[in-house]
Amino acid sequence: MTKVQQILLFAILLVGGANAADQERPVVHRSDPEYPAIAVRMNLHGTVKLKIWINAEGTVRRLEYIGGHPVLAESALQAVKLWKYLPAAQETTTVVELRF
Amino acid sequence: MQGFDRSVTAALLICVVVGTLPLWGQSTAEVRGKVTDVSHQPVVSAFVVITAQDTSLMRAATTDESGEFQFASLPIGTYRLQVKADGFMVFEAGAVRASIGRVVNLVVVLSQGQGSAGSLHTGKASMIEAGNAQLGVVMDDLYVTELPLQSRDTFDLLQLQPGVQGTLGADLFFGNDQPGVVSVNGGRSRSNNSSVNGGAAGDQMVNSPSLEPSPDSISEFRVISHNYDAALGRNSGSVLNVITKSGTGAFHGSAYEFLRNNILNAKGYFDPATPDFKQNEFGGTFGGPIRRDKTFFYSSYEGRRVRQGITSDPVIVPTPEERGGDFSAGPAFSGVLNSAPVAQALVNRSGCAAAVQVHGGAPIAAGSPYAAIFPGNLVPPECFDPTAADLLNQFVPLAIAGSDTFHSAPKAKVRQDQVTFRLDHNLTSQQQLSFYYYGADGSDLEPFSRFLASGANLPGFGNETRDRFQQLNLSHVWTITAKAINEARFVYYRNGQGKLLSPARTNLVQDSCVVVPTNQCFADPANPSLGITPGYGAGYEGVPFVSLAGGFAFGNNRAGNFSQTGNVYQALDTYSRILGQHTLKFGVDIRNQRLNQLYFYNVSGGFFFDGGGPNDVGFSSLIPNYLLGLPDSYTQGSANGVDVRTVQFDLFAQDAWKLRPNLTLNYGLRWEWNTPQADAGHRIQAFRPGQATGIYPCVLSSSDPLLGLVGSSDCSPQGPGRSVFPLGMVFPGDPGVTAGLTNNYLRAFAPRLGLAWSPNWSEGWLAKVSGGPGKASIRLGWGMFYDSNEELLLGENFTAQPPFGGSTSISDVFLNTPFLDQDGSVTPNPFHGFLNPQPGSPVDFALFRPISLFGNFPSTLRNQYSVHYHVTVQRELTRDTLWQFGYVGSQGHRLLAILDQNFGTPQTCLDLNQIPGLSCGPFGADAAYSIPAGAIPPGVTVHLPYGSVPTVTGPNPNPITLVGLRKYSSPFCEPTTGSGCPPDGIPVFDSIFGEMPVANSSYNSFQTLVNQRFAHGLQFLASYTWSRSLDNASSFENTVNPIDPRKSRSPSLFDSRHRLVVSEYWRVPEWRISNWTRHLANGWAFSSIGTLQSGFPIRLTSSSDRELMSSSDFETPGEPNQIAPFRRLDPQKSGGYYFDPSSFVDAPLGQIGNAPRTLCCGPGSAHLDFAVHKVIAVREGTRLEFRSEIFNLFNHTQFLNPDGNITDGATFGQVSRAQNPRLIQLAMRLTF
Repeated sequence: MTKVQQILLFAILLVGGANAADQERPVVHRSDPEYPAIAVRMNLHGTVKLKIWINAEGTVRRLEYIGGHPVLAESALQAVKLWKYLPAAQETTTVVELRF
Repeated sequence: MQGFDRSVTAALLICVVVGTLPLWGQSTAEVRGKVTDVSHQPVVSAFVVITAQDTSLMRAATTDESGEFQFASLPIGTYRLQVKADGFMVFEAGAVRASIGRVVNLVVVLSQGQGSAGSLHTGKASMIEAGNAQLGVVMDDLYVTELPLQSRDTFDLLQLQPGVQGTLGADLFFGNDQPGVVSVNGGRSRSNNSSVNGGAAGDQMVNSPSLEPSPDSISEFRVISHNYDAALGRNSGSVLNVITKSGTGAFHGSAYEFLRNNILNAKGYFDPATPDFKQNEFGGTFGGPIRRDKTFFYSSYEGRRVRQGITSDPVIVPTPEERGGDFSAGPAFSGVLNSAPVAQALVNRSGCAAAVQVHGGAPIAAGSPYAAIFPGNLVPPECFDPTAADLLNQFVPLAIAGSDTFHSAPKAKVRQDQVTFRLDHNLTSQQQLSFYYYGADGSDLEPFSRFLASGANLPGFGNETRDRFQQLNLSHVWTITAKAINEARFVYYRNGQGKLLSPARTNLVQDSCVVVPTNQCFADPANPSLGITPGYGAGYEGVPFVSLAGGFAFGNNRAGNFSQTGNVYQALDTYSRILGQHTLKFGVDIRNQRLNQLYFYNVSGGFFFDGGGPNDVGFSSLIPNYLLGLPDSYTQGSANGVDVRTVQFDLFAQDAWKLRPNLTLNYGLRWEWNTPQADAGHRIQAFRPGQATGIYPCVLSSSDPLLGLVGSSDCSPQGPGRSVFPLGMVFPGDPGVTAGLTNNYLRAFAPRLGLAWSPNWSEGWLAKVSGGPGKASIRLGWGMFYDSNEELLLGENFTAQPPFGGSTSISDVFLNTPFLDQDGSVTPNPFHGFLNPQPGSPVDFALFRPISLFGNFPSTLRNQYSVHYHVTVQRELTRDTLWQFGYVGSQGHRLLAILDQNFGTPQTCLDLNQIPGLSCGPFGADAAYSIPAGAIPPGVTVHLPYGSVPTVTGPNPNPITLVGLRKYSSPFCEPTTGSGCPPDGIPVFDSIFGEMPVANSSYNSFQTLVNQRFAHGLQFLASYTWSRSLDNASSFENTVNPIDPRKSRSPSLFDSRHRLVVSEYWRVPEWRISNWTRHLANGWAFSSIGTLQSGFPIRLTSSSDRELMSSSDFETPGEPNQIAPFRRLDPQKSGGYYFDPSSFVDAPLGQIGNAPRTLCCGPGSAHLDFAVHKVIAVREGTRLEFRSEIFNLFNHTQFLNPDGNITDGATFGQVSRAQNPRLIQLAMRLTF
């Protein structure tokens, strides 16, 4: 394998790793985010994308902001923290999108 | 070629597959942090928002399992940081500064409870760099606007940091007189990659920073001086990036005027009087919002007007007696008139023979000593060369009363107008668009042309430059996700130089005389081709250059002048992605570079008087030789238009891998492909020994006198006239000869490695030494860095060389008719305007003999490269003070230098001197020598430079014919038979100067700095460097020993052993006064830059061809012999001598002397620039500043290096220039 081919493979693996498939679990309780007052004034609309870690009991243990306007993201985080999922054998992750 | 295709295809695939690959150009910053609770446990999923204070740009992130967050590719600026987490008080910090290319590390400690907490634990990031292993200090706008800067040139600030060394005063290296042209950590001064807002800003010709935005428009800049990561490259020395200011949410601006006048200045050591100096720099800035929180603009204008007297070097000129031919005050003439044609020329001068007779002189005849012909050292004016006398009267002034030298201070005039405009637009919260325009238009009239150290030292032959530099820079930053950012940039850079170093005085060569009729001024009416016939017209010709070693020089600079337009189209893309503990960057940088250049090289010819020729008068100066019109050498060049094309294609991948919270491994790889510079018109040539060109058939022209000698016009390699065929000179299109003369080098892979560790020792003596966790870092770096070639490197080849123009260099000629040699032979004169033969058309190559070739490239050439390595330690002394120290080293490999591949063989010349009736001496390598049968004395061996046998030992059975003493003088000549030797005795080739990868360098240094960012009213930076740099060529213009380049290794020309620079800005604490006196008592500040530096090495050389190589490009390979230790003198007490010249003598004939190429060291420097600032608050937000800046406060005389050329005679060892005396600048600035 030439040097260039090795570099190419390395790059593909890195990018591929970032797109690993997430698992789906049903939501048993979903609270809607508030539309922030400042967002109303700014006429902000859009989608916030979050990655969440759901423990075995179905509680959201950790959130990671992926994208969307920061003003909307805070509201989205507050809402998703309260979501409940069906219990599972182990912790899972998923990506959720909230539209404002 | 197959390998090339494969590599390029693979490289392109990386781009496509990875997306638009990452770049953080280093025009952005990175902010990282860790959020913990009071017990130092990480807080997970905390929401972190960072907001630009000026533009309201927002980014957000959440903390990971370690409590860490990261913002990549942040625009330079000041930010507010807000952290929110459940169960904790909201944390806010107000002034997080994100600086170019820096990784800002924050520690945020949250308190439990509700509400908000102030920025008690942060606000200012740690100064410790624990995220990368790059070296370099960021210069913020406080440095840029408040420190005293000569000519308000921001690039002066480069030299405030360790490892950066200016190379001012080196005339040989064009462009080195600009402040931004510096040697960084042992790199060559043209090896720095400069950019403005991440876009190309270096000129193509010499790669100097050509865009210099007004300091008031600069946000900050940084030179990454060592071990930059793979996102940066193109050059091996350093990366310099200027970031300009953006508009903000409020309207702000400034207006200013900086004034200098000679009545405020001191007189310099060499100034006959305080030179005229009037300088006005004025301008303003204005910026603000166009749409609130959406669109911002920032603009600036700066004008500069300068009138400055430039003091000439002290030039030794003839005394009134000498002008009349009376040299009786000097030693008796010791030379012999050896050549009959010279004797005949003197006799032919009207009244000369009679006047000699009247003075009691011996008859003018070959073999007569000059002392006999001109008894009492009295040369009758009737014997002068009329043209020499005419030019002397016109251009060589009398000495200043009471001295033997002439001094003057003619004026330089500079005008420059610069505008910049920047527009920033937040397309969405995730996408920002930025546009920047820079335009500078200027003219520069220099009274002395010092291009390549070869211009006149007498006034009247200055040059003029008119230029316009522009950059259009469009960038798009897209925050795709919180952890993926793409930055795309498109740049158009243009330099237009309608006149570059154009001679201020032009005329037809024949109009140079005022007394001598035009048909006799550098002309022979009976044989015009013996004179100078450029054929370009009065607008491009001028007075031929005349230079006497150690004496006066006048005429248009032989190094020539240009008209050129350059365009660079650049596209960059950087994609950054955070993956766990990895911060990845991938990117591409593509440049299409075009430079259309018209180069008038030495079109009017140049004469050199060095002494030592066969008809040297043998006086203590060369003035008698000049007056008799007997120069030692003559060179002439031609004009050529070239359209230079190069493409740069760079790819990179870089990862910062956080192995542990306090340990980061940086590793990356950059691949650089720079196509060789190629002329679109293929008007360049190479020398490949033994290869015959098929592009231009050799056919003798009908007027060529050789026709009668060879009996045929066929001078092809197989023809009867092959003796004059330039075997080896080939052109693009010949087998194996590419348009760029050399190969595409595709293996320029440049790996980069760095390790940054911040010890977390929290107890014991290690904690005391390190200051505790986060208070220190140890960084190691190693990397390879390739260089792209500046255009001037091949510039000599881009001059017109056969068949596109003549490039003649001949020795021992007559001043008025340089194509007539002193021995009576005639050299062809090929100069008759532009020549542009089309491929396939016949060319009479015989007319170009002897052909000098410059800029020859080898067919395979690996790029020049450097290896950097360092170990540095950082320690936080206080929260605002950093101490850094460590070892920094580099090595340069395959560096290009000039190597004469066809130097005269000294041994042959020495051998010829053992044969009765023959003589060979300096500048004799291009003469013909015929050795009759049996003439070589028994036992004497003659070494032959070419032919079937290497030596012939006497007595020789057959006659021997030598036409030139160089290896390739006459490629078909067989000395033992005379077959294939040019029948007219004119060799085919002169010197063949190659740009060869024969040089290398090594640099080792200890560097330390103490840096306090602005706190308690004080900001300062103290830098010390103890270094040693060795090389055998400090720039491509340096000529190495052609026999063994290793012998040229010595201290680099920019090697300053010790350098200490202390810069500071101190805002005096304000008094608490409520009455009107507060306006007087408050608002004061002081700033200064103090420098202590040891001297640069002295370049030692000899130009009298003692080495018998007849080799002279930018330099000669000659060196003197050193016979005693180097002894320094005080110039102010020793008649201007800085060292004792008697420690050196001329080398023996046939040898390059034993003195090193450079010798440590010339005069050091010590100076202090100081400024006093007074600020008055006019009203809220509006300030008026008065400033007084004093450069060289103590008016300390700082000499530049002395003359190191032993051939210069009386001036060898003398200093003739000094840095500026005390200059004062007054300024006023209104800021709102």
